[in-house]
Amino acid sequence: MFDLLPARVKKKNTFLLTLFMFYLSTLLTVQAQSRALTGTVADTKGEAIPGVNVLVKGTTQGTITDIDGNYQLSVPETAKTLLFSFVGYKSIEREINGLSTIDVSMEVDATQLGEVVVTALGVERETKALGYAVQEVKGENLVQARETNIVNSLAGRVAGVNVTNGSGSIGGSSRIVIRGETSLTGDNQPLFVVDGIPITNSINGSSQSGQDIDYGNAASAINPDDIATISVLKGPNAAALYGSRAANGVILITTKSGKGTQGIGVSVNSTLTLESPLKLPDFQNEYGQGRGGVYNIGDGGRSWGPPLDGRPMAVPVNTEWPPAEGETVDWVPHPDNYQEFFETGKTLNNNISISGSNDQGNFRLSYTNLDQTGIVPNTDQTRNNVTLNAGYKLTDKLRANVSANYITTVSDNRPVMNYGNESIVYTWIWEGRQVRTDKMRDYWVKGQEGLQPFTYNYQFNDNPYYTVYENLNGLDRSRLIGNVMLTYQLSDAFSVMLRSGTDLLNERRDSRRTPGSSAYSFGMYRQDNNTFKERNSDFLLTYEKQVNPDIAIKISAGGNQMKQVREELSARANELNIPGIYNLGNSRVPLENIQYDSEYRINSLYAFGQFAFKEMIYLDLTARNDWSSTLPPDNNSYFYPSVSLSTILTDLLNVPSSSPLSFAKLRAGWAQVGNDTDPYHLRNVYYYGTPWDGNATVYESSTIANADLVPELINTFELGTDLRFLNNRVGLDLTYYDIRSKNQILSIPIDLTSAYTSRSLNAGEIRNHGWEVMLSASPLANPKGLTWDINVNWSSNRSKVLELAEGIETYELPSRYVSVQARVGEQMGDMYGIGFQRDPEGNIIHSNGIPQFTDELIKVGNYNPDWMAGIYNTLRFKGLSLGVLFDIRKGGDIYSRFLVRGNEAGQLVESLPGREDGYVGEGVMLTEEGNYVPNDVNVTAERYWGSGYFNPEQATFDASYVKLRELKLGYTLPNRLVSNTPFRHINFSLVGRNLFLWSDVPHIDPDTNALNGGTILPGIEDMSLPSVRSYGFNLGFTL
Amino acid sequence: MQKITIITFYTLVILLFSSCEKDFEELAENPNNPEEVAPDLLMVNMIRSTANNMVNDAFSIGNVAAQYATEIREPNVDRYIWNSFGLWNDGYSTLRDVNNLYTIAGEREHDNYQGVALIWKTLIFSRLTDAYGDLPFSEALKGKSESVYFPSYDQQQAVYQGMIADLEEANNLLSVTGGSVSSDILYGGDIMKWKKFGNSLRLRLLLRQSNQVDPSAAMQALLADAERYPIFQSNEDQAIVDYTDSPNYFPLAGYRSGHFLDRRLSSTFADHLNTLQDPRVKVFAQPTVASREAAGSGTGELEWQGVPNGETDENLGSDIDRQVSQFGSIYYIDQQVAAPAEGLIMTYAEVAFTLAEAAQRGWINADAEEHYNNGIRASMEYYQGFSEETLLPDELYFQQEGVAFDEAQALELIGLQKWIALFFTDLQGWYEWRRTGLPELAPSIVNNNENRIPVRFNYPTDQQVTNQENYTEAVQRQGRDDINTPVWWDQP
Repeated sequence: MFDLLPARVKKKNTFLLTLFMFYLSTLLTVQAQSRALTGTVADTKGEAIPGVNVLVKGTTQGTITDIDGNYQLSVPETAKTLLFSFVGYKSIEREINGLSTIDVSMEVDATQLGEVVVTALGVERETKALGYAVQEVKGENLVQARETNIVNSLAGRVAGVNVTNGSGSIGGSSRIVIRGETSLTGDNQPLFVVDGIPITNSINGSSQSGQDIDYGNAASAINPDDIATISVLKGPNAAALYGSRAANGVILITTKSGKGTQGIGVSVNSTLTLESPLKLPDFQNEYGQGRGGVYNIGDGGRSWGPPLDGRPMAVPVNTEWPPAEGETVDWVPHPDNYQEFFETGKTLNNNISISGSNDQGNFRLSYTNLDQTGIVPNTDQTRNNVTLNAGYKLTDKLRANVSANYITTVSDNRPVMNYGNESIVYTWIWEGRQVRTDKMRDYWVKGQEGLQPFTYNYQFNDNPYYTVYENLNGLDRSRLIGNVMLTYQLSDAFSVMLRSGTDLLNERRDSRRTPGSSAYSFGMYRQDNNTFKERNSDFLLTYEKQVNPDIAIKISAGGNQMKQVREELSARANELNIPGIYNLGNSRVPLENIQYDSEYRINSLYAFGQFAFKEMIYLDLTARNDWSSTLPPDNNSYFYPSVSLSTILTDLLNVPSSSPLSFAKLRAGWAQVGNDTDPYHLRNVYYYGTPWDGNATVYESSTIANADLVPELINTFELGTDLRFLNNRVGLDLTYYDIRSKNQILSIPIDLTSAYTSRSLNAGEIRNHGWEVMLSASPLANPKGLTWDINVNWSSNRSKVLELAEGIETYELPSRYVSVQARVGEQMGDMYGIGFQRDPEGNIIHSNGIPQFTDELIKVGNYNPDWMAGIYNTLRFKGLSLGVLFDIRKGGDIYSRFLVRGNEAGQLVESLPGREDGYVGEGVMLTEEGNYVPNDVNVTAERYWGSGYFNPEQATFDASYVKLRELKLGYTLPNRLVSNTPFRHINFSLVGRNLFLWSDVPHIDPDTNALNGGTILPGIEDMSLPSVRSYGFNLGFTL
Repeated sequence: MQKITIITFYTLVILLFSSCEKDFEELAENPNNPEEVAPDLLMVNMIRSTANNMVNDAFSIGNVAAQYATEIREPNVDRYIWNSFGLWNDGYSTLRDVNNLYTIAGEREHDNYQGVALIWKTLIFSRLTDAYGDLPFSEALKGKSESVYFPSYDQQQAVYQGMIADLEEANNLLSVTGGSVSSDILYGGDIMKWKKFGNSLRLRLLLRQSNQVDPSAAMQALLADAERYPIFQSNEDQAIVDYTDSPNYFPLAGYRSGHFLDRRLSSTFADHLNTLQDPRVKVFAQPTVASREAAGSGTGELEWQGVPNGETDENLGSDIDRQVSQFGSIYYIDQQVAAPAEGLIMTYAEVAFTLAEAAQRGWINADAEEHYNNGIRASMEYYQGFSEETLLPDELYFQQEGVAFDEAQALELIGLQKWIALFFTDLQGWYEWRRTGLPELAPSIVNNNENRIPVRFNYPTDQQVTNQENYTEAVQRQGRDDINTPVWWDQP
C-alpha cells in the first residue's frame, strides 16, 4: 500500500472551475420548477467519483453518483441547496438556484481517510468499506524503474504476495502466489483481470528433453504504461464476481482511461536500461580440463585435469582444428571465461499516449514499443502494445465503454533452459577452466563452415556461440484483450450493465537446429501453433439506493458465460533433407505431429449486496452458482457464498479527533469458493504413438479417469484491522487469515505396478494461515521541504497438509532432483532427497573414504519462506524524489543443480581441496568391530567431490535473501521552467532494479527457479541463467 | 436517442447470447482421442517400447554389468554406483497396454492377440523379476479393472510359476487357424513363430530357476511334443526387431556421440575374443584408431583392444580414445546412416546353448556338443548378415582349445560361448553370469561396492512413497533393498 497517505492536496482544477462558474452565470435565469437535476461529481483532478451522496439539504431526498460520477435527482421546487458528501472528501453545498445541471469538484479532506481502491468489477470503493484485504499499486510506480514482466513489479510491494522468478530467460516466466499454496494440483496462481475481463496467465513453457524454452507467463505482456492501478484482492471474496478461478486471489488491472484529461493530452515515457549478471559463480581457476590429472578432449569437459601452471599443452586453441602438429598453448586459467560470454542486455521502452475527455466521453490511445536484447548473445524480445480505451455517453442514460489491448511479442531467439546440452549454463558447466571465450566466437571450423562448429569437446558439448547463433527458438505471438460494455440507467435506482470481453492469443513458435549440433546430426525443425480464446459475457442488474441518511444499499444480480477454447498444433521434422531449409516439407523422416483441441464452458449466475449503515458499518454479501462443462454433466453445478463486514470503530465509539488514534477499523470476511477441473478428465483415452512403417499405434493414458468428480471447495476466513495514529501519519494494517481447501480434484498417485500412475478423485485438505502486516509512516512531512514516507509490508504464511486421500500419506508434486512432497501433518513445499548416513553423533559415515548416502529420502528443506517483507522509502524534496525498495525473504530453501553438476565437473571452488594429495573426508567410518572411528581413508578429490559428496542434502541451501529491488532518483522540472514551454510536465529519473543481492547461497541467486513445462518449480534451481541487475534512466513528459 | 439505445442493446444481445452452442454433454467429450480401440493398434507400441528398452538397457547397463563394455567417461555403472535404473517404470508402463491388448482381445474373442499379449507380458515380467527379485505380479495391472491400486509383491518363485502358467495358456490360445494378427512388427502375423517364441521363452525361464527348481520334467515334457510345443529351430525363428534404416530407428541413433563413445570394449570381452580369434569381433567392435593408423601406414595390423572395467581415472587419460576399440558401426555412426543393428529379444543361439547345458546336466536326453556347436554357428551366421567380410568360422575355430567341446569343461565352454552370443541382448548376459558365474568376471578396479559385482537392482525409490507397505513387506522377506541381495533363483 504505497499510496496509503498520498499528498491528496491537489491543485485546483481551474478549467473545471471556470466551466462551473460559466454554467452558474449563464443559467441563473432559468425558471425554477419541479424538475430533474443532473450533474457530475469529480475530484480536483477531474476523475469521476462514484458513490457520492447527493442530498437535498434538510430532506431525506437524495441519490448517489454512479460509476462515472453522474447523478440524477428529482427535486421539489422548494429545494434550495444540494449537499454533496463522500467520505474522504470535504462536503460541499451548492445553491440550486434553478439550475438543471450542477457539476461539482470535490476536494480531498486531509483529515479523513478517504482513499479508494479499485475492487471487483472495477468498482472504486473506499477502503474503509471493505471487509477483506485489498492492496493497490499505482501505475506510476511501475513505469520508471520498470520490469518487462509486470508480475515481477509486484515483488516486495504487496504483503502476502510471493513472486518466484523463473530461470532467467529473456521474456521468461515468473510465478505469483498469494497467501500460500492451497491446491495440490492447481497452479495456485491468482486470476488476472484486465478492465473487468479475466485473462489467461498460463506459463508458456515448452518442455522436451533437452529443449526447455521459456515463452513467458501470459500476463507478462501487459504494458505498465497503460496501467492506472493494480489492485491485489488477496482473499477469495471477489470470487462471486469472477468465478472459481479467483479462489487464489485476483490481480485486478485497471488501464488508464483518459478520464480527467484536460482537453487533449499527450504523454511520452521512455526508458533505457542496461542489464548485466547480478551474481556470478565462484569458479576454481587452478586446474584445467581432464580427468585424473590428465588432459582429455573427450572427457565431457571436466576440470579434473592438470594444474593450470602455464605448461605448454597441445589442445584445441582456435577454429583451425585440429591444432597443427606440435602447436601448443600456455596452460593457464581464464577466470572470466563464463562472464565474458554474457553481453550487456539492453532494454529500450518507448511509450506515447494521447488522451482526452469531456463531459460526453473520454478516450486514451497508447502505443508502446519494447525492444530488448538479453545477456545471452543473440536473444531478444520485441513487444508492441497498442491500447485504446474509450467511453462515451450515447444518451443521458446510456454509456458505452470500449477497451482494447493489442499486443505482439516477437523473439528471434530465446535461450534453452534447464539441464541439457542446448542449455547455455549446462554448456559452461562442461567447459574447462582453460577455455578461451574469445576463441569460440568465430564458431565454425575453418573449411567446414556451416557443418562443423569448433568446440573444446566434440563428443558432448556444442559451442555455446554456435548454439545461440545457429539453433534458434523463435516466437511470434499476438494477443487481443478487449471488451465492450454498455451501462444503462433504467431509473434513479436501477441500472443494467452488459459486457462482453475477449482474450485472444495466437502464437507460432519455431525451433531450428542445424546439422553439426551434437543432438541433431541432420538438423531439426519444429513448429508450434497455439491458439487460446476466452470469451466472457456478463449482464448485471443493479439497484442502488440511499434509503435514508443512515442506510445505503446496493444490490446486484447477474450472469456470466465463460467460454474457453484451446487449439494446439505441433509438428516436428526430426531430420532435415536439405540443411538450412526450415519447412516441414523438407523432412527426411515422417513428421511427428501433436494436436490438442479443447473447449470449456462455465455458465454462472451471481448476486451481491452492499449495505452501509451511517458510514460506520458495512456489510457485503455475495453468492454465485456455476455450471461447468468439465464436471460430470449430471452433477456439474456448485454454489458458493461469501460475507464480509467492516466497522469503523473510531466513528462508532466517537473517538475524539484529538486522540492519537485517528482511525480504527475492524474487518472480517468469510468466503467459500467452489472449483472445477480441466477439460476431459472424466474418461480414459488412448494417445497416438509414432507409426511404424505405416502401422498406426496408440497407448493408453496412465491416469485412471473418474466420471464421478465433484467440485473442489475452499473456505477462507480473515480478520483484519486498520489503525491510524497521530493524525494519520502512522498507519498499521493487520490481517490474519485461515484458508482450508477441501475435496481437491487430485490425481492421486497409485502405484505404477497397478498399470496406472494416478487416478482422479476428490480428496485432501490443506490449511494455510498467516499474517499480513502493512506499516506506513510519514516521519517527515513538510509540504515545502523534505518529506519522507516509509511503507513496510510483512507477511508470513504457514501451511499444513491435514489430509490426503484415504491410505495416502504422501503426495508428490512436480519436482526434479529433489522430491517435493505433501505429507500429512507436514507443510506444503517440503523437499525430500537422499542425504548422508550419519552416526549417532551426526557425523557423516564414510566407507572406503566415500560418504555413504541414505537409502531413504530425508527432508532436505522447504521452499516456502518463513516470512517475506518489503520496505519502501520515498524521500521528496522540491522536485527531487528518491525511492528505495528492499525485498526481503527469510527462510525457505533452494536446491542448486548448478552446484551439484559444477562440482561433479570440477569447475567450482568446492572441488579444490585435496587435488594434489587426495582428500580425507570429515566424518567417521565403521570398523569391523562395529565402532565408529574417524575416517582416515584418502581418496582422490575427483572421487570425493566429483561423485561422492554432493547429494540433495548437501546441495540445498537456506534461500534467505535481501535484494535492493528498486532504486530511483527522479527530478521533476518546476512549473516555472515548464510553463512557458509546450510541456506540462517533465520528469527525469535514474533507475535501477535488482541492484544488490545479499544471500548465503553460493554461486546462484536464490530467486531463480527451474521451468517445467507449464509451471515453475519453486525451490529447485536447474542451470538457471544468472539473474540480471538492471540500471538506466527514464524520461517522461506530457504535452 | 431512443433508437440508439434500442439498436445497441439489440445488437449486443444477439452477439452475446444467441450463438448456437454445444450442450454440456457434448463438451464433456474429448474430441482429440479415442476411448476405445481395436487390438492391432496396440501392437506396434507394445513391441517397439520393449525392444527399445532392451537395446537401451543393454547398451547402458547390461553390456557393462556383464563386462562386454566399460565406461571411460562417466563410470557409474562400472563403479557400481547403481540405482533402480528405468526397467521397472518402462516395464510396468508397457504392461498397461499389454494388459489392454489381452482384455480387448478377450472381449472380441480373439485368441491369437490374447496369446501374443500373454507372451509379451511374460517377456517383460521376466526381465523385471530377474533384475529386482520379488515384485507385484498376481495383483499387478488391476488398477482400472479391479481397483487394486497398491498391489502386494509376489515372491519370485510365485512369479516364475505364474509366468510359466501364462506361457502355457498362450501356447493353448495361439493357433495358426485362428484369427490373423496385424501390425505385428516382430513376426508379421506368423502365429507359428509366436508359438515357438513363447515356448523358447519358457525354456529360458526353466533354466533360469534351475538352481531352485529341477527343470528336468518340465523341459522333457516340452521337448517331447514338438508339435504341441514348437521351439526355435533356426535363426529364422528368433525374436528380433528389424529396425528400419531410413529413418534409422535403432534407439542409439539419436545419441550424442559422447554417450556412444563413453562405452568401449571391455578388456574382459576383448581378451576372450582375441584369444579365440573370434571373427564376430569385427561386427561387435571397431579396430583401435591407433591400429588403424598403423595399418594404414603399413606399420602394423588392425587390433581390437579393451579397457578393464572400472579403470582408474589416471589411466583414462587423453590417449585412451586412440587405444581402445569403440563398438561396431552397426550400432552407431556419427552423422551417417548405417544399416542398423537389430533389437535382440531372444536368439536361436540362446536356445541352442540352453539345450546344450540341459543335456550336459542330464536334464534332457540330447547331445550337448551338437547343440553347443549349433549355438556357435547360429550366432556367427547371424552376425555374418552385418558384415561384408566372411565371419563364418572354419573348422580351426571349433578345434582350438577353448572352443572344442570337452566333457570336463563343458559347462564352462557353453557358458563362455553363450556369454559371447548374448552380447547386446537385453541384460541376459548379466543374468546368466549371476546364475552360472560364467565366464569368470573380476570386479571393477575402482568401485563403490566393496569389490562385489552387483547382483540386483534397487527398487525404484518411489516405491517407498507410492507402495510403501507392500515394499516394506517385500524387503523384509527378500532382504535389504540393496544391489548385493541375491534374488531367489540366485540363492545357493
